[in-house]
Amino acid sequence: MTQLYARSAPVEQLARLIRRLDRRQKAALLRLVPELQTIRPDELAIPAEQNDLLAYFDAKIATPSEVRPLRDSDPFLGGLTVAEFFAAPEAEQARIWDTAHTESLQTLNDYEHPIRPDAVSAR
Amino acid sequence: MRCLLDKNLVRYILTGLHDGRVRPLTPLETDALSLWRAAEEHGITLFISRYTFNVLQRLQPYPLAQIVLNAMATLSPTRYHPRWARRIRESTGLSREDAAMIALASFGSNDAGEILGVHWLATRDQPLLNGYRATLPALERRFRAMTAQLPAPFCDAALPRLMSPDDLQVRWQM
Repeated sequence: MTQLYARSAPVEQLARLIRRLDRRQKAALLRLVPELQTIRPDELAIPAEQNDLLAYFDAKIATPSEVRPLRDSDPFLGGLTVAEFFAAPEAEQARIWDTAHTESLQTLNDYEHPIRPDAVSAR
Repeated sequence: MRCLLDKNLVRYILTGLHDGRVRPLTPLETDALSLWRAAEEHGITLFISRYTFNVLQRLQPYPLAQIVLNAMATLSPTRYHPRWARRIRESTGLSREDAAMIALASFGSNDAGEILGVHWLATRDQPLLNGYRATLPALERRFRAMTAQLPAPFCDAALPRLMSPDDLQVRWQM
């Protein structure tokens, strides 16, 4: 089974570096990045219901081995990489997604999909 | 039964699957993924629009996009889609894109051309839901007048029901 996406390498590298710091250096780091102190550990706790919901999709996430995982540095939409897109605020993701759809709509202006005369209506 | 997902529900599915193992899902992501699971549990076929399909195709090398492309069918515009989309805009004042999605729900078909339209359009877009509901009686009149003149299979086209993901899940459980 292939992973859906590769782990965020920069964050894990950073974590390894931080683990090597002594207490004085870690205190200096907290002074330099004070917002770290505002993050509660339970903010990132995954609720049990979420694990159940995601477990439902595990079989779909199992992809052929020739498909490589999504990497943070891969190009995504709007000129952003995967990491940049998924880290962007929701409003920015929506704007990029909307723009891509508007372009798609324009390319399909004259598109007419064939249909069978006995097609089954949703009536 | 068939249900078309609006573009933002697909986006919430992507962000939910991408980030769901490393942070709590937002309510919107939970809603979108729950809708997908509920649809499969109730035998509802989910569709993405041809517009979303094109966007996902640009991301096709990635498993994230392939998961959706493999699991969902694509609804593409057929012959009378542009005419009905234009009339929806005239009747409702909705945006070109919103009108195109509603028209697709009536005049869209799958790859094989075996179906016409879907029963539901799932969206959390409140202005779209409100705008559609407020003008539905007038839309129904125009729709009946238009489809009465069309050849098969288009004369059997139907208007979709627009519903939020949570309302749809309640409905499917009934």
